[in-house]
Parts: sequence; C-alpha cells; structure tokens
Amino acid sequence: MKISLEYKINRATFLFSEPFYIVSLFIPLTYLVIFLLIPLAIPLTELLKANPITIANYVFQNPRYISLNPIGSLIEVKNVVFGGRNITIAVLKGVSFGSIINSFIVATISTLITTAIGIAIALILSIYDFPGKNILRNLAIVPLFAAPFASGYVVKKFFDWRYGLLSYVINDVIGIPLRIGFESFAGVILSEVLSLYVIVYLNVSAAINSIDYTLIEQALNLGSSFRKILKDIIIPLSMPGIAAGASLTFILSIEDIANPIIFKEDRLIAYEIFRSFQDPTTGSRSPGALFMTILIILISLGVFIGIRRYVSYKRYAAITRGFKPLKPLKLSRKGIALVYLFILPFLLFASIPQIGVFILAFSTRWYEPLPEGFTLENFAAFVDDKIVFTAIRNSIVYSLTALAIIAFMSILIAYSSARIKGSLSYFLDTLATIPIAVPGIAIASGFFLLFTSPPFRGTLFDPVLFSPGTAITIAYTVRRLPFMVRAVYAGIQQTAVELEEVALNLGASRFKAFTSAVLPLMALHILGGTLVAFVYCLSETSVGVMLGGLKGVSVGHAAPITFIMQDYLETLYGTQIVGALGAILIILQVIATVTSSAILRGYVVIGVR
Amino acid sequence: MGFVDILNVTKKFGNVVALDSVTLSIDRGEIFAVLGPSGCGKTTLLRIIAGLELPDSGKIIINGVDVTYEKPQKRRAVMVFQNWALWPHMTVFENIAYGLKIRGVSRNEIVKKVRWVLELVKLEGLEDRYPHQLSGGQQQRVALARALVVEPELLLLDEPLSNLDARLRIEMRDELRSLVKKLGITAIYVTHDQEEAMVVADRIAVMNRGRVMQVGTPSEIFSKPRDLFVATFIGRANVIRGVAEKIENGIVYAKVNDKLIVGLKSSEDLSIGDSVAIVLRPQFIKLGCRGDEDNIFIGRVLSSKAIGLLTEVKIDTSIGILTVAVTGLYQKDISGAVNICFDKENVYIFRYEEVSF
Repeated sequence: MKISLEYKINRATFLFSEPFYIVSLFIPLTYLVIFLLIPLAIPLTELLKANPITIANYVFQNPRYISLNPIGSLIEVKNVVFGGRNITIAVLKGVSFGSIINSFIVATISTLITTAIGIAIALILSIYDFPGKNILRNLAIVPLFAAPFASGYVVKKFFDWRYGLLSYVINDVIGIPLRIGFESFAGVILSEVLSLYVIVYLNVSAAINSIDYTLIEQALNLGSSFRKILKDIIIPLSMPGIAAGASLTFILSIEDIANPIIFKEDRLIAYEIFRSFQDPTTGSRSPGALFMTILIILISLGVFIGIRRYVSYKRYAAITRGFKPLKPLKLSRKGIALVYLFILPFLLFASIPQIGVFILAFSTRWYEPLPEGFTLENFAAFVDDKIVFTAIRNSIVYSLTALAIIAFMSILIAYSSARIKGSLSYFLDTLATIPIAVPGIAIASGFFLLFTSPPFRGTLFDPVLFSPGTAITIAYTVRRLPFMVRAVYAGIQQTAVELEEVALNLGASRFKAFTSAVLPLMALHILGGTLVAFVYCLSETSVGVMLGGLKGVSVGHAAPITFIMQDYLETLYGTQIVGALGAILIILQVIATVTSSAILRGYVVIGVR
Repeated sequence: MGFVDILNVTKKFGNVVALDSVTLSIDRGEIFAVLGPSGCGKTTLLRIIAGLELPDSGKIIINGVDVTYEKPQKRRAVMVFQNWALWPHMTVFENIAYGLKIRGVSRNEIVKKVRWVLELVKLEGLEDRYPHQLSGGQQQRVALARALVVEPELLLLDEPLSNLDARLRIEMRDELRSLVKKLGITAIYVTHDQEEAMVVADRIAVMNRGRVMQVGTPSEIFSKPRDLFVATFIGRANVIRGVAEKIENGIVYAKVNDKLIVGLKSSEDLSIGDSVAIVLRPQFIKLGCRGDEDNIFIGRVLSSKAIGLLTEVKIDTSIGILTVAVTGLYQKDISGAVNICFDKENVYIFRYEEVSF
C-alpha cells in the first residue's frame, strides 16, 4: 500500500506539533551544522575559490607530498665510538615517500600491528581464565589514560639510542656493545601502537563478551574443536568489533599530531597542517594546507562512515532467548607460560609512557637515562608559574563551559535519536557521532577559517582579534560530544519507553513526561558521561595546540594546558612541569573512568555503534 | 456509530503489515476485548488508539471526534501497559497522583481522589511504598489505580494480567471486570488469553495477521466461529480433513476415510467436492454411544490424562485420532474398544485452508 501525501503531511504536522520534538531535533542540528559541518566544508569552499585542479596538480607533482623516490633509510646501523667504547648502533627510522604516502604508510603499519596485538590480548583475556588475569586486565587498559605530549615524550626518551633507558640497560648495564633507537616514522609508529592497541582491545573484547555462550556450547555439543569454534564462531561474530577498532586506530593514527611533533617528523599530513598554523594568517589558507585538510577529512570520514555501515549490517540480531555470558576456559600451563612470556611484558612495555610521566613529574631532572632527584616543585609551578596557572584556569573554564553545552546537547540528541523515527533524527545521530572520526586539526583549521571571516571576524569567536578561548570551548563541545551522547543514549535505552508513554497518556506534555519520568532515571548516566567528557576536554590536544597560541603566550594568555605542555616540552625548565601536568591529567582520567564505568557498567571509550 | 470507531486503520512496519484495514466499533460502557496470537497487531491497534503510534491510513474516532492525529495527552484515553510502567523513583501515591497533578487538581482534591482509588483497588496504607516494595498483584493494582484516578473516557488495557501468576490472574480478571463495570468506563482490553477475554469482555474481536477475523459476544465466538482460524484459536478443537460429498439446507456430509461426518456448513463458499476441515470440540464428543445414526464411530482408547476436573482421552477412531474431554475421572482400560458420537450441531465444517497463527 502506498502511503498518501495527505498522510505524510498529517504525520509531519503531528510530529512538529510537539515543541519538545522540535527543540530536541533542531537545536542540536543547528549547533552541529554551524560548528561541525560548516567548519569542515570551509576548507573545501576555500579550495574551490582558488583553482582546485591546479592545486591538485601542484600537490600530486610535488615530491614533498608524493614521491616515488624514497629518501632516507629504513634502519641505520653503524659502528661508532660512544663513551670511549666501540659500539654498534641500530636506529629504526623509515623512509619518506612524501607526506601523503608517508601518512598512509604510518597509519597502515600502526593499524596492522595494533590490530594484531589488540585481538590477541582481547581473545586471551576474554576467553581464558588463568592466575593473575585481573592484573593483566587492568594493565591492558592503562594506555587509555594518556597525557598529551608527556606520554609520547617518555616513549621517545625510553627508545633514544643515546640517552634512552633501553640502550642504557643493553649497553651499560648488561654490557652488550649495542644501542637501539626509534626515530622518525618508526618512533611515531611505536608510540601509536603503544597508545592505540587499547582501542582495538576494548572494541574486540566488547564484541566477544556479547557472544551468547550457548552458541559456543551448541558447537561443542556438536563435536567442534575449540580451534574451529574460534574460527567459525568467535572471530566472525567479533568482526564488527575488530573492524571498528582497526578503522578507529587508522583514523586516530593518521590524524595524530602529538607524536609527529615529539619525534619531529614533519613529513606527515597532520604535521603539514600543523605547520601551516605557524603563520596562521597566510599558512592556513595556503593551497597545500587546504588540500591536506580536505584530504584528512575525506579519509577519516570515508573510513568512519564505511565502517559504521559495515558494523550496522553485521550487527547480528539476537535470535536466542536470554543471554548466557561467556564461560572462561581454563588456560593450559603452556598457555599460561606464553601469556607471562609475551603478553605481560608487552603490557608492561605499553605502560612505560604512563609510568614515565609520573617519574618525569616527581624528578628534578630526566635527561640522562635515569631520572635524577625527587621533588614536588614541578607541581608547585601550577601556582608559581603564572603562565601555567593561567593555562590551568583557562582549561578548567573552557572545559566546564563546554561541559554544560555538551550535557544539554547530548540529552536532546540522545532523546531525539531514541524517540523520533525518521531520516532527520538519523542524520542528527550520525552528525553527533562523526566527531569521533573528525581530525582535531581539521576542526582547528575549519574554526580558524570560519571565525576569522565575516560574520564572525572581530566578534568574541575570532581567535586572533578577540581570544582563542571561545573557539577552543566550542571545539571541545563538538569533539567530546560523542562520549556523552553515548552515555546518555544508553541511559534512555535502559529506561522503558512505557514510563514516558504512560505520562503522556495521563496528560503530561512531552517535555514534562521526559523531565519527570525519564530524566531522573538517567541521572547516573548523565553524571558518568559528564565525568568522562570533562577529563577528555581537559586533555584535548589538536585544537588547543593549534589555536591556543594565536594571541601569544604571555601573562593573562588564553591558551589551555595542552598548548603549554607542547610549548614547555623539551625546554630546560619546562619538561618536568609537562610531566606534572600529565600526571594530574592521568589521575583525573583514572578517577573519571573508574567512577563512570562503575556507574555505566562499562567503559565510555570510542567505538562505532 | 459507537463510542470508539476504528475505521479502515492500516499500519505497516517496513514490509510487515501490522494492521490491515481494521474496522471496529465499540459502544459506550462496553468492555471490548481484542484477542489474538502474538504479533497479530492487537497492541499496535491499542497504541494507535492511545496516540502512541500513527496509522498509515484510516481514522480513529472517539466520542464523535476524529483524534487520528491528536496528541496522546489530549485524548483522555488512558492506557495500562503490559509491564505496568510504574515509575520506580516515585511512591505509590506519587505514581497515582501524577495524572491529577498534570491536570492542575488541588492538593486536597488529589489526596481525596488518591485515597478513593486506593480503596477501590484495595491498596489502602501502601501509598508511601515504592513499586519495588510491592508484590506483582499490588503493582498491577497501582497501574490500574493510576489510570482510573483521572476518570478516563476510555481505558486501554494492554495484556494487564500477563505478568501475574496463573492464580492471581484468575482472581484479578474478575476484580478488573467488576471494577470497570462499577465505574461505567468504556474499556478496550488486549489479550492473547482466550479464557481471559471470555471472562472479562462483553464483546471480543478476534485478530490474526493484522486483520479482524470475527467480532461477537464470547458465546457467539465460541459457538459460531466464522472461519477455521477462529474455530481453532478459540477453545480446543479436533480438526479432521475430508471432502464435501453433499450439501443440503446448511448441512454438510463430508467423507473421511470412507465414513461420513455430518455437520454445519460453516463456510459460505463451500461447494461439493471441496476439501474441508471438520472441527470437533473435545467437550462435545460423547463416549459409549449406541445405535445406527449419523456421527457414531467405533474407536480404541490410546491414553487418558486427568487435567483438573476433566480427563483428556485420546481415541483412535475410524475418522482419525480424536481428543475427548470427559468430566471427572475416566476409568476405561487403555486399548479398550469404545464408541464415540457427536451432534451435527456441534460440528463445524469449513472449506479447508492453511491456518497459521
């Protein structure tokens, strides 16, 4: 039966006669169109204003961006005299094929390694039971707590062939005449792997844990071996989690700006965009920067939207009644030995950045392989150093302001996604999810171009003529929105729709029904989401770093802490303060994550739904 | 025109037709049951009447007013949900008072009305409890009280007793009927339980696959089923396949394994030579019959099983294996020969069709 136009009109009239529907749909939609879609579209319009074909030709023919003649060497091995002794140094570096190809190579290698490790750890920790499993489980999520710049700095420090702890142990302690280092692309990849495998691990674990154990029992009952069950049941049913984890790793690694800055590797797309901001008025509008920004947006969104479709197609309907959680299998002695020989050392290895940040925070100096002294002075700088103090105050003000907006928008978005059927609410839901994949550097570029142009030019949005504070705050709201939307949405999903319907039925307006019958039941979810969103606002890096210094960094500046962390890093005076700031951020993240996961019975981490 | 008129209502979810041109008319003060198997569209129909879903086409008219696109809060049609939907963060008093507060009723009046309704549903003294502190039966009463206290024009009940245990369900259905009748409210009662529908309702609409199959009083539905679906869905039935041999004055002679069964012509379009489904209710089959009349067959007892006041006896007869319901205990030996018979007025002969629930 074809639905008549009259009924379509009647239905639309019915929906739009509900003021709360209109508010919950159009306020967030307007907000996200202005502060997400338009900033993302601006680089494209700027590029189209210029001559896009000439620019594309320029980029594709410029060996700086694409080159088929590699420069540099994958690994540099040479014999040198170091500390008065003859030794061999082996430094893993990587070759350059121009920024665009380099970014693809770095992201692909990072993703492959990360995915393999993440799947292995998820399988072992979800399927098997063995002594010390809980310790390993907690260790596995340590990289979730990252201190911008400080964590990466520790990785670089640890793997430096001259002053790194690894080479110190091999050469100076054990006495082997060998020093090992990771620099350039290899350093970036190493740092990405150590910090991002947790994304794959958590996504795959969630997928495995949602498998009904009766499916496995049925296979065992039919005589299947465990290896076959793994191949035929567990892996196929975990594919959405694997795909989501891998694609997010790819996106996060291609857009990452902190590690290229730390390893001083400027031959990557993200760094190209960052560099254009060194001279923002001309640089950000340069054809190369515009092209790179568009490229990184297209790659990220393309991968993300593709994977979202894949995950939604592959989401298997629950056809069994009830749910029986996985019953862990006993791990054999050989298995336990393998876990303690390979998995535990890797997890400890991956915790080096977090441990190192605390060492940095409490030491007087850490230049040589081993840190020197113990001090609390680095924390005293939070008050004594006016620049740092202002940055902390700025970050708290920006984050709290952003949080109020995020909470308001998240409640409206989650409500309309859960309650209003139709393409508009689906579009809003998608729009609220994509910031997970939108590179922070692209948002920063877009905001800069938008807010320095009419009608925003010269207003409180203008990061150059007024202050970067407003732009940074709005960027926080957009970038951290998905975390809270997800938590609030979960709250609405867990509240039976009938509780709201019965209120409507008794004569309450939609707003009244929502606020009196649903909202009080979601309070904990909102609190959980708020905590997580707050700490992720505090540790936001890309926008803070790119826009934070536009008005300069003097007393009374407008930069957030992440900008100061980048600015102070590797300065004689500032590195330890960066460590102290990083340590505080890690502690706050741990508190927020533990509290919210207790409330929400699960981690609020990035994934694809 | 009834108090509630449902005119040609159709609703699809994707490609699934939940309601297919449903037309019903419900009188003022009537308790009207919508009965059907899971997924037949009965809850969708109730939600459309309540305004919680919009139909794809058709109209809902309540008390002469077209409310098809009216907001749920304006309809004065209050629903009691299957899971009762009690707000867990509100006490019994707050749950019941909610609708009155929304209507701007004064505090004194609210207290008076809540007391009145608590007495009505026999929950006095529990007003300060939270829903989790109540038993299933008490929770059900709170849900009902919350709906009744606003004095709705129309009460919509969506399987309100399905979450209760069997004993309580039987107790509550009688109470529910007398309460609704006492208040004179028009009620639409959705259930998949035929016994519940028979006891509670004045009239029943039997639905299957989004369509209304028959509307009538409980006894009409039981004794004059309009088609094979209704005949087999309502009450228990033996269904025997055969072929129509002769049709005369509304009586059909159907051949089954060379034997003739005589019964009522129950399908309008039944013709000689058609494949037929013969429906025999277990309680209308008699045992130990003698003589040479129609509908007497010889059989052998296969098994007997006492179920409460009845004994269910399975008998292998020349027209097939039949289930017979016997009052009290059945003492006959297994494998013993027995004659069975039934009156032609209790045999429904339909044109054969595949019936799915």
